Amino acid sequence: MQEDFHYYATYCAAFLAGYTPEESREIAYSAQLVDCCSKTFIRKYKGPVTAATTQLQTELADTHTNIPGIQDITRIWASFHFLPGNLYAVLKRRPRVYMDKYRLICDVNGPLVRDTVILANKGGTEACGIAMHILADTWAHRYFAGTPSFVINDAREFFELRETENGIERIKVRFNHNPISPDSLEKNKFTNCLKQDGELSTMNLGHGRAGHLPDYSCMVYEFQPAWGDYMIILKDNPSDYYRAFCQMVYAMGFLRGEFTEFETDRYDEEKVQPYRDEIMSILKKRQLIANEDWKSFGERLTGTALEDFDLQKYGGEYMASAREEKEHTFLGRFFTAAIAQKSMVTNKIYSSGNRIAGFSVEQDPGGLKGMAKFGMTAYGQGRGGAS
Amino acid sequence: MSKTRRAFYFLTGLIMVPLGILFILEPAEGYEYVLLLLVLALLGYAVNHLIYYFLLARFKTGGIEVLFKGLIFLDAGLFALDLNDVPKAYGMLYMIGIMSLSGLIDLLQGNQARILQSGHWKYQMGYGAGKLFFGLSCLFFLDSARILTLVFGLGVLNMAVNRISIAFRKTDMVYVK
Amino acid sequence: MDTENTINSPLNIELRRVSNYLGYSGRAVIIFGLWDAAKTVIQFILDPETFLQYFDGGTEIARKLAVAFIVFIVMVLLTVGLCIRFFIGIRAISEGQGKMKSPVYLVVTGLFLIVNTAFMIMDFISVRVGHSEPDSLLISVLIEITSDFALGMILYSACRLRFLNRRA
Repeated sequence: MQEDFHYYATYCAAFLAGYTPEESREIAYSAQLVDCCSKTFIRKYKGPVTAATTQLQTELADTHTNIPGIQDITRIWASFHFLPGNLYAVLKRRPRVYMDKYRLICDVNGPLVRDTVILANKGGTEACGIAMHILADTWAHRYFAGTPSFVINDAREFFELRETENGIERIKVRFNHNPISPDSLEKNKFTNCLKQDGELSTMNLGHGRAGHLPDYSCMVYEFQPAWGDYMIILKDNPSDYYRAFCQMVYAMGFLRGEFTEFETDRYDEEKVQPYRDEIMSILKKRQLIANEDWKSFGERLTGTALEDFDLQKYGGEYMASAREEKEHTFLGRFFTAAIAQKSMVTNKIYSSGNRIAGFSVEQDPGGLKGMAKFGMTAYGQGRGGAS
Repeated sequence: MSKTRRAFYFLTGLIMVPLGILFILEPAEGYEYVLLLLVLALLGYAVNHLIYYFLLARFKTGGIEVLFKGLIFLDAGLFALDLNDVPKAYGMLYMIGIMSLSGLIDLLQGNQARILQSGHWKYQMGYGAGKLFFGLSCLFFLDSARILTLVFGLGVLNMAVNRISIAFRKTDMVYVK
Repeated sequence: MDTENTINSPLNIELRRVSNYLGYSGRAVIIFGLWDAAKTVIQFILDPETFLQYFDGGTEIARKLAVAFIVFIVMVLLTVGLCIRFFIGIRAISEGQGKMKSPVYLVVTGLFLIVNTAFMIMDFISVRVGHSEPDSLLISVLIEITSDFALGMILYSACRLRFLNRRA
């Protein structure tokens, strides 16, 4: 998903869930920050690099695709953008090396979604924002895995299903690999990653082979994923995004204390129903990004102005704080929540018998107990400890 | 690119330098070693692909292309293995063909890099053009074994220098989030 | 619910799989054909003197004519072989994409496969009578098998596709 949903739509969902406009802004900011908090960003403010929730292109280019490099990539992308749907999936006659990757395929309403939201309950608005980003991304990025793998993340035979006067038209999607030329919905021109049959090539990370199609809320399309054994997947983004929105409202209702339990596959449609038509019209509108529409909706909903996302907004506060106080700043709390999320997901993947995300320190009897000693790892070394 | 891979490129480049020189100074011996290197490279690539297919790619939609790719390179490697028993002229032609084809592929990849505005497209296109030039030049000197081995030896040295430079180069990529 | 005709029914999935195999096999046959042609050129055309060992006696002109004739025959056979492979490959790709269906190319594929197998058997015989080395034979057989695998794949995929289409 893009800024339109992670920032503006999350703001709207937070307000509908019952948060104040100010709290909603913080949640939305955190949700969008997950897409920007790279090691480069963190190093600028001398924060703990283990809190990185994304990787820039240049960082990926520098990451070695040896075992530690793959583990580092997987920890970040599987924890924040491609939350695995079923770590214990079973397929017949598949070797272990294949299943380790297959089990990382992102899907909605998996046990990890529940774990993510419950974990966020221990934090504030920052943790809530991170959880909402992850939850929303499970809807957009489902069917792709947060680890480089040609046999899982490759995809082919993309067809857009477009509503026309003559009914639903099936139009072949044509990709080019020129990152300079922007995507064009009118000309049906999109960019995707080059096909690389190297199994561990970073071109085969996530939904690179599908380009930005999963992130455009208006797109309805079908494709054949590499793992699907010639199955055709229908991806209805407007419908999925609407359900993501309703689920966010429900999840934030839980985080506010409205519900005692969080259940997956539950959506607070009652609160969203009065605005359904307007939301669906935003989602279905053929445009590459819907910032303006969501912003306008959010401002009318809350009755207050919503500033655009500013990446540097809380950097000054973090830099100016004393070392002992950094944890209590906005960025400090965000970093803490991000590390907790990454640790939880890595731990779960490790517990399932899969080493692809690395070694979980929580399992190590002699070493650090997970991220409980975050303070020591983050500030003692400046680069963060094991994660 | 991982450190291991960079080390591999560096070492193979280092090995190819004396081979190229040997080819120029002692063509008969140099021919045997260059042919061996070619066989190992082709068969290694083929076996790598076949193992990958049977372990992982056979479960992939469209994975059969990996099998065919492996089989084609296996065919090429086996043919190169058989060249030791035939007159050297045929072996030379085969190696010249591989060099020229490889140069053409590098040229096309360099053009692709130019479209992607990679910083290395000029180098890549130049290297591909160089290989193609050496390969095609050899066809003009088929009658003169001395000049033929000299030109081909220079081609091998060109490849060696390229491999060593790749080991120190930053990898460009297109990535869509 | 009619599960048999849904987009992801086992039948439709198998149809897509087999069509895909057919398309790739067709491409492989074309590439192997080009490769075979290149190998033949290297082995036979550039040193036609190799054939002289089969001609004892006769004048120099007669020998040269014989060599020229053989080169001509080999060129014709090479071109015919290449055309047949292109024909098979293009038809297979076309059928794999659901565009065209023709039994002719399958018959040609089958015959081609039989001829190739016959040549392989002849290679075995030439080893038995001492005209070839066993290690050369092994390499030759392996090369033939890799090349014939694509042809076999076309036959299997096309037959399976027809069978499945009749069921659909």
